[in-house]
Amino acid sequence: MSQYLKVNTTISGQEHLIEALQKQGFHPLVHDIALPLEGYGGDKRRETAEIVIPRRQVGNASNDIGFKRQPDGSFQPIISEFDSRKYNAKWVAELKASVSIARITRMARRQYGCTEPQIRDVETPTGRKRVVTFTLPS
Amino acid sequence: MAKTIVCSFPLDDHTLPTEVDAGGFHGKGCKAVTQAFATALGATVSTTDKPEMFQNSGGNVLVNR
Repeated sequence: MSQYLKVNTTISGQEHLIEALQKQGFHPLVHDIALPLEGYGGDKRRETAEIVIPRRQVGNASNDIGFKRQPDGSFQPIISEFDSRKYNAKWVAELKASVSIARITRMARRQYGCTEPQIRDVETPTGRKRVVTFTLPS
Repeated sequence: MAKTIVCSFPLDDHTLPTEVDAGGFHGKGCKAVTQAFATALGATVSTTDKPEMFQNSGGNVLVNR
């Protein structure tokens, strides 16, 4: 049985998190209350989550991936040790970036009248970065 | 010159800082824009003595350079 690991980060914005997961081809389940995650054999685990990628969507012999709501409304990813080989820190970082970009794009449009931002990926000494440029109307 | 806001998100490590560069803004305007983006990202103002730095609950730092 692969144990679950709580990823040491949180992702803010339920609506954008679900949208980002859907863009990756997942069909996440959304619960009002946190429900137990399922292991690869269908066994209920003690870890619970409100947003769940069902194990069959994650991969063969995989476990559910969960996103547990935190007191501040953000979500903490819960990924099994087995699945964290594929759904690793890079996957979480890209997911978090996608959600954040969706959030600030909406805010920039509403608050500053910005159109769609320019987005490009660059290599830096500290790793890859997604650079998002908003231009304000003059 | 058009004002721009550039946000850089780390893709390899979610513990690295996110940066916000409010180009063309100055003083209070600069801080206001950065704060607006910090808020949209779920960030709060850090207790740092550097007023241009913000920190969110996930431990990331937004730096307005």
